[in-house]
Order: sequence, then structure tokens, then C-alpha cells
Amino acid sequence: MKWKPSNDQDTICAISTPPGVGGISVIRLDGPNAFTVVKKISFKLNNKIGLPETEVPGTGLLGTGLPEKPESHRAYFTRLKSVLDDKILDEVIVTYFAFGKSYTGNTCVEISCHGNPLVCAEIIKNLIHLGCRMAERGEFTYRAFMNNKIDLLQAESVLSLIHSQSKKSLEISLRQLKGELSQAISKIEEGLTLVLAHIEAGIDFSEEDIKVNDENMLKEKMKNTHQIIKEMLANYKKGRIIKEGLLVTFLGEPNVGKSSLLNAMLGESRAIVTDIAGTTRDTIEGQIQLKGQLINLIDSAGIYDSSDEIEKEGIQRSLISAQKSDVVFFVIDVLAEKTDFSILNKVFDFYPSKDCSPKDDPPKDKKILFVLNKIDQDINGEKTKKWQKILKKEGYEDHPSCHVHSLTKKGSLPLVKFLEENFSNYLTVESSSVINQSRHFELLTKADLACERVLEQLQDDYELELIALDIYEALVNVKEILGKKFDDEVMDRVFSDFCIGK
Amino acid sequence: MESFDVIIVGAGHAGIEASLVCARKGLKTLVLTQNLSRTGFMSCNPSIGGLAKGHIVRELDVLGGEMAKAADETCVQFKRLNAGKGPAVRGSRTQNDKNLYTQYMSRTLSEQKNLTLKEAEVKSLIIKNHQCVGVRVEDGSEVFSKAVIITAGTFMNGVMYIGEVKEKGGRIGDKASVGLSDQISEYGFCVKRLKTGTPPRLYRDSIDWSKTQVQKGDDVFYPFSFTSSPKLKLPQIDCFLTKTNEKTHEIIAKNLKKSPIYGGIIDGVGPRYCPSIEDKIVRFSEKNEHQTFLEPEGIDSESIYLQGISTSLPENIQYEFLHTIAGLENVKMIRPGYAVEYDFIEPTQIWHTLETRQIKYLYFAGQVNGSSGYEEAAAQGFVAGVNAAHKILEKKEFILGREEAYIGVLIDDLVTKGTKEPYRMFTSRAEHRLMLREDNTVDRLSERGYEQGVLPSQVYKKMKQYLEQKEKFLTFFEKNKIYPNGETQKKLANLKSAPLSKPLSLKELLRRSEIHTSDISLFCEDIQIPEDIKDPLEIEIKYEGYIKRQKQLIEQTQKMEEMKLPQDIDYGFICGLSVEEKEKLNEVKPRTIGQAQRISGVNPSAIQSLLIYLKGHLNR
Repeated sequence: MKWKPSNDQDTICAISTPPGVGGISVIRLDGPNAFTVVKKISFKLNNKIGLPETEVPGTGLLGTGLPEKPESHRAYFTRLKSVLDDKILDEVIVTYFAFGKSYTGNTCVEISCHGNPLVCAEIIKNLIHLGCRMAERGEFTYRAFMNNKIDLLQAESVLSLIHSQSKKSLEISLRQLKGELSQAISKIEEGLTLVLAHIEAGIDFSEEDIKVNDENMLKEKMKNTHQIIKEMLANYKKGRIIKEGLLVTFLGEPNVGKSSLLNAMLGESRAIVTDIAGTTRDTIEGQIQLKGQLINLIDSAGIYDSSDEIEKEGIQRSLISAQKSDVVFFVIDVLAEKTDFSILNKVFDFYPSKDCSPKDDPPKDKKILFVLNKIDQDINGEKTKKWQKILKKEGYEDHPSCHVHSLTKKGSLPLVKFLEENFSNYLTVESSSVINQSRHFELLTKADLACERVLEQLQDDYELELIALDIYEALVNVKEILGKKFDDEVMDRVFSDFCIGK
Repeated sequence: MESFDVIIVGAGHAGIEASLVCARKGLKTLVLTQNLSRTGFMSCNPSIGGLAKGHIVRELDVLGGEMAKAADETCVQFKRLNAGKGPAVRGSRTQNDKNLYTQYMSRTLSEQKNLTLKEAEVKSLIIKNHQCVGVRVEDGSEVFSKAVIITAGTFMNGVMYIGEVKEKGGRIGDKASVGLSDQISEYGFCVKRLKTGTPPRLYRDSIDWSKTQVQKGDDVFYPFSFTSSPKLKLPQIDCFLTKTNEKTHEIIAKNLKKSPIYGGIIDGVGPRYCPSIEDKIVRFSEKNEHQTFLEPEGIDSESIYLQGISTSLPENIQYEFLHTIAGLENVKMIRPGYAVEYDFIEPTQIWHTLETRQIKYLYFAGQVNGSSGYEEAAAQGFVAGVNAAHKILEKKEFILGREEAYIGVLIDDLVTKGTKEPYRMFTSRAEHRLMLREDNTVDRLSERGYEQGVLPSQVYKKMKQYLEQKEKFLTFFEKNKIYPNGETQKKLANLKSAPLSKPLSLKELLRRSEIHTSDISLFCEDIQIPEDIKDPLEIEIKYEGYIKRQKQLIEQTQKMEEMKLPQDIDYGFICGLSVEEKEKLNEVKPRTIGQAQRISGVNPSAIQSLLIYLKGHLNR
């Protein structure tokens, strides 16, 4: 059997806007028959159904069926009629993208119809009846990638765009799409190639009359390149937070008011909240947006010395959640007599040592916020003052604290304010070289370590072929980010930079 | 006419190894060459080995080749290049007496049993049913054989250029071989042109040696061959250094148009690593001098090779610029420098066995495959010879891996990537560089040499003894420890090495950069380590960790290497591939993604397409 891909020649379709009722929905078609299929279900406004001829607002044109030869990147106003039962489906805008000029490189059509799931379903049904098939997840991107319209980085960015949950994350993905990250990484690649070319020339052409041992230049170049890598790594955390959202866990003993605080915060922005229900014994999550930045709030099971197996599991999860978080809200009931501060140690003991935590981790004093809750019930404020003293005594005086109550919306505002004040730098995107894929992070980390070794070895006059091994390692990893393979470019570089020849 | 098992066309460095290996395997072998007096002739520089090339010579020796012995025997100067650098990139080079080298090879061939030498120009191949069954020579007679190996060097449609003078020929004094490559191309082979050049040869007596600097060889001789004596046979000679200057460059620049390359007469591609002096002056105009070495072509030879000044300018211009160089003011040329343009077949058309894909029992080796250099040619000749013989004898193919030998890298590069310029070996071409060293050639290849059968068994036995001894000491170093007592610490301090905090095996001790094998006897009095394994032991121990890391790194880059590509893919149907890529992939039919990646002209984006394609269509 001949092994050939018929799938790539199919015309595919899918609803490209999120599911649900909205103003409009967009249905996208891709493949050789994209336009002809749509043309089959379009019809003139003044057809036999006898509707009056209407002018398309602002264009002076009469709505017609689609033309024989459409212009690329032009939108056409038309009506769609079902070929199954002759019923009018919708009034739509059809935008046509010619072969080679679309996002995927194929002939592509976008139908903007009214955002009603039933309408969309009917249109799709017709398209499939006429020979289209439903696109698989990410298939448009796959096609764009296959047709060389986007590179690997861009393809990944699009996928991350599809999955991105906040506006900020969208911005970064868009920047990556524009190739800014590709450019930044290419700069690293360029630097490493240059250094390696010099080292290789020193090995393979040591008999030649060439100057390759300008060590200071090499060190300088290496340092600069390493610096770019380090900066990009430092930005990863930021990129991750921007993409996945800031992670905030409410931690504390049972019944200190964690859940009601969570609800109060969610209540502030209910319209954009997506609640994921859990059991009371498990962690409960909710999301809010703050200045366009996604914030994940996690309510955890109250921590105490339980003998119940299920509760123990819940408590364990609370600790893990807090440890993974960017911020921990440690909630204290001001009416209570005491609280168990050892919970905090349990959380931070998960960090084996300071060195192991990511370099750019927010400092601990920003990581924990002491939340003195139920101040509305502390009529004269004495209990609150008492707790402030306790915090001081326990050695947490440098940590921020705030006073809240969860009875009204306003009661939880100090928490929002805290996030705004302390994480505002994560709420703006200033650098274009933010990486937000864990794959990129891993590869860059390897490159970072290799560069560090190179710098040490250059200092210690190591054997050139061993230094070359480390530069090669860095280069291989950087190239993998770009989806490139190590090839002859080092030798090409040697020949273009040095006069070699006996 | 008589019939043979194998016919080898050409008696250069590739032809010699190919014919010897066939004859030694008991096959009736015929060597046809246009000029028997130029058997194993050094057409260009009078030396063997060098960086990466020295590795190849040693590898050939352990496999049972001849080049190493000839080079040792006729060595007139020895140098270990990169001696100050790490052991993996050190390379041995001999300068040789050119005439004695030719004599040695002629003698070896004529004394070889089963081998017939004949002077004749091969005009065409006899091909029946896509199988090569013999050759037709110039007088029209036919010679039949079971296999044919073409090692015609630069002779196929060779044209020489000196300025505007253009002459057919593969080398000065020898005529070209016309007809062969035309026939091959009619059979559908892609035949292309390459260019190479050689510098002028000067009369020894016409040089003012007082104006040059002497360049001596090394004091210690490390022979290429495992069986050669470390005692040199011939008296050693010196080389000399002088430099071009701005005046020289001015003359060359003024006359560029008269150079066939710059005048646009030659369109073959020349090697970037071996540019002509014209090239150097144009591309690196900021340099106001270039080194050149004066290398005697033999002990009593009157001919001096002017290394670094390859040129194809007219003879009178060559004189004009040579006379501006210190020491060469009154120099006389035996023969001017010249360029040669010749046919080669795109090597992606041959298998790793060097048999052609289109025609069975037809093999190509050496410069006809687009390589450059005596060593690269010899290695291919050897591999083609073994494989032709094995095919006739119905034995298994002989293919060396990239992790086994530079020879493996050479052939894999040629047959999968093809080449745009004459291909020369560099250490940086070997991704397993730390593993492929001169000092462990026996470790890497003696088994392969023995199993394929031309390595004499008494030599193999000696190699085995050597390896066993090495192994014995390695185990000893692993098992025996030194302890942190006063005496030990004092000895370490004397060696400027850090004191011990806990017991340390001798192996771990030797891993320290400041400790050498000879120091071990300080800690272990009754130990006697043979001189010849001291360095290899130390290198092996010190490099162990790095080699491991290199392997891991290669594995990381080759995750894709093993990803299999179905053999029945029609690449014409895969989106995202250019027309050229589709053609190339359909032509090569790579077995793995890794091999596809090495095909030149196949871009990274194509590999991504293949990967996405595999993922998208195979796992669906």
C-alpha cells in the first residue's frame, strides 16, 4: 500500500469562537473547496423567497450570492440557506482568503454568523453534508506550520494562544507570534556559534596562520550571550504567571474564615468567575482578573492534627498547594486564642534550601500575607492588637499583614490591594523575550549551566575540545527551542571568518 | 581476454588500498592505470596525516590497510599537531619522500599475490542488466570481472589551467580519462564538477635559504602503524618558512582577471579550506601577509613544494609575484602552480558500502566521490575493496559507524549529505570526537579489522595482548586505593595535588589533572607500567566522564535519529516540503529522521514537517 496523506487535502471546518451564546460566532473553513462549499449555500437576498432587496449598509452594494471569483481578504455580505431543507440559516459576512495568502497557506474562508449555537450547528451540518470534515484540535495551526507559514516557536505560541486564559498572556503569545522570541533566541544562537567557530578553528586549523586566541573577545562574547540566557530565564517565572495566572492559597486552621474570604473576593468579580467545585475536604479554586491578570485563588482544607484518613489527605493537599503557590494568605481568626504557626514551617520546609527555589522567586516576606480576619467582631480592636503582638513575637514582624472581614465586599478589599501592590510588576509586560513554555525553560536552563561551565573553563585554560563540548551542549539546546538541528554552520562560520588554506 | 574477480580502475591512494584488500582476500584482482610509474603518487603536498587525517591513517592500519606502513617507512619529518591541546584532537603528520613513497607502493603491489598490474586507459564500463561485468579499454578490448571499483581521482574529464592555457589532463604529465564519466552520466548518474589547485614546485638551488626560517620536526616519532618500529628509517629534513607581502598581493590583485577562476573560465567549486592565493587576497584583503612553507619533496629531491600558494595565474605572473617573496627573489620553477577541474559523481548515489545504487557490482572510491586528500581516498578505497570482495564472496557488508571511526563519519557524511566542495575531514565533523582518538584506535577497531579478515592474525594477537595489558592496569587502578596518611599526603603535596580526606582509588587519583601515570609508582612501589600504555591509560581515565556526557548529548540530539521513516512514503504528497526536498527525500529514502536531517538541502522546517506528519498520520 502506498502510504500517502489524503488528510491534508481535505477541506476542514470548525467553529473558531468559544462555545456559548455571544454576539457573533466565526466558522472557519480551510482547504481547496473552502470557498465553493460556502458558495453552494449562499444565495441572493432577492431570491424566490421574495424578500426585498436590501442595501448592505455603508457599501452601496446589493447583497448577492458570492461571486465566482472572490477577492482575497475581502468580506462579502450574504445569506446562507440550508441545502438540506431550503430554510434560511442566517445573514452572515463571508471573508475570503486566497490560497497562499491565508494564515494556513491554504484557501480559507471565515463565516461570521450570529452567535447562536443552534445557527452554528446548522451551518456546520450543511458544510459537512457538502464534503467538509470537522477540524481536529489544533489542525489549522498544524496546517499553517506544514505550509511554512509559521515556525515551531510560532506554532507553539498559537497553541498557547488558544489555551491562554488572560489578556496579558495573550499579549505575550502575540509577541512570540511576531517572532520576537525567535529573534532573541537567534541572538543567543549567533553568539554561541561565533564562540564555537573560534574554538573549532583553534583546533582544526591550529597550523594555520590565523588569530583565534583572542581570549578576551571570546570571554566577552560568551558573557554577553550567557547574560541574555539568564535574563530570559529570570523572565520565565513572570511568563508562567502571566500565562497560567498568579497562584494564591488561603491557608489556616479550620473555621478561621478562609472559604468566606474566597467567596467575598470572588463576589467582587462574579461575572468572570469560573468555579470548580471540590469537596469541602479538598481544595476549592476560583479565578478573578485583576488589571487583566489572571489570579487563581485556592481555598484549602483547614489544617489541624486530624486522625481521619480522608482529612489527612486533604490537609496534605493544602500544604502542597501552598508550597506551589506564588502567594500564601495565612488566615488567622482574631477571636481565637492561638494559632499553629508550625503550619508555615511545614509549607516552607518543602523548599530544601534557599538555593533550590527559583532565583526570581518573590522573597518570602512577599510570599506570606498574614490575614487577620473577623475584625468586625473585635469591637474595640484589642484582640487585633494582641495578634499583632503575637506576630511580632513569633518573628514575623517584617511580613505584611492586613485586617479583613468577609461579611461585605469591602471587607476583603485589602487582599486585592495587597496583590495589586506587590505583584504589579507581573501585571505589566515589558520584555518581549518572556518565555512561557516549560519546554523552553528546560532547554534554556541546560544551556545556562553549560555556559557557566564554559566561562569557568575559559578562565582555567581547559582543553579546547572539552570547552567545545560545553558550547556544543548549549548550542544544541538553544537550537532545539527553535526546532533547528546542528549542522555545518560552525564550519561555515570558520571559513567566512578566517583565512584558512595551505 | 582474461577475466578477473575485481578490476580496480586507478592506482592512486584509493586504488592501492582497494586492490590490496581484494587480493589479500584471495580474489583475482586487476589494477588498470594509465601510468604505472605514478602508483601512489603524491600529486599535491608531500605529506600524510594531519589533524583528523592522522586518525584515518591509524584506523586504516588497524583494519589492515597499507598507507600507515608506507608513510612510516618514507617519513622524512614527523610532527604531532595540537600536541599542546587535548588528546582527542592531536594528529600525527609525516612529511614523506615522494619518490620513495611511490616506490614503496609499487613494490607492495607488484609483490602482492593474486594481483595483476596493467597500464591501460579504461574507456567505458560493460554493464548488463544494471550490473557491471567488466571494462573496455582504449584499444577496444574487453576485460570481464565480477566487480569494478572506480578510483580515477581527478582524471575523469580532467582539465588543467595555468592562466589562459587550458589543457586536458588530470595531473601535469598525465592525460585525462575521457569517456568514463560521460557513460556513467548516460546511465542516469548525477555527475558534477569540482576544482582543486596545487602550488608551484621550485628548484631547491634557486632559493636563498638564509632569508627563511627553519621549521624542525618533533624529536619523538610515533609511527602510524601498530607494527612499525619507533625508529625512523630515513634521515630527517627541515622545512622553511617565508611570507608574502603587500607587493606580492599587489601583483596578484592587478592580474586577477588572468586567473581562470576569477576570469570566470572555471565553474567547478573549489575547497574553502584550501583556497588559492588569489582567493586569500580577495577574501581577506585586510591581511597584508600570508605564511608559506617551503617543503622539500624528498631527501635528495631538487623539488620544493610551496605550501599555501596554490595558484592558477599565468606562469609569467607567478614568476613576478614569487620574486617579491623573501628568499625567492631569484627562484626558478620546476613547474608552475595550476588548477584542475574534474568530474565527480554526487556521492548520495552510492550506498554506505560505496557500491552505486543504480548499478550493482560497481563501486566508487576517493576523489570521484567528491572527497579530497590522500587519507580520505585511501579509506574509501579500503572500504570499497572490502565490500566488493564481500559481495562476491557472499559475506556481510562492512560499514563502520560514526561512533566507531572517522572513516565511518567520512562515508556517512558523503553518502547522506553529499558535498558541494571537495570534502576534507575535520575533527569537528565527528560528533563523537572525544571517543575517536589516535591513542585508542586499536581499542576501537582491532576486532573489526580481525573479523573482516585482512588484518594478519599475528598482528591481531599482539593488539589483543596490548589491550589485555591495558585492561589489567585499569582494573588494578580501580581496585587499589591510597589512604590519607602522612606519607601519602606528603607525596601529594610534592606533586602539588590536594591532600586526601578519605581513601581514594588510583583511578580517581589519576583523574586529577595534575597527576600522571608515571606518578602512580610513587604510591605503589612495585608497579611496572609499560611505556606504551601510560598515556592511553591516563587519557582513558581522565576522559571517561566527558565521553559519557558527550554520549548523552548525542542521545539528546538523536532522539529523532532512531525515529523510523516508513520506506514506502511518497514524499511528493507531504505538505510543507519544497520540490527540491521532495526529490531529495524520494531519492535517498532515508531510514530515519536522523538520516533525513543530514541530507543537504533538506531544511529544518522540512524535518518539522516530517515530524508533524509522522505524529499526525502514523499515530492517528
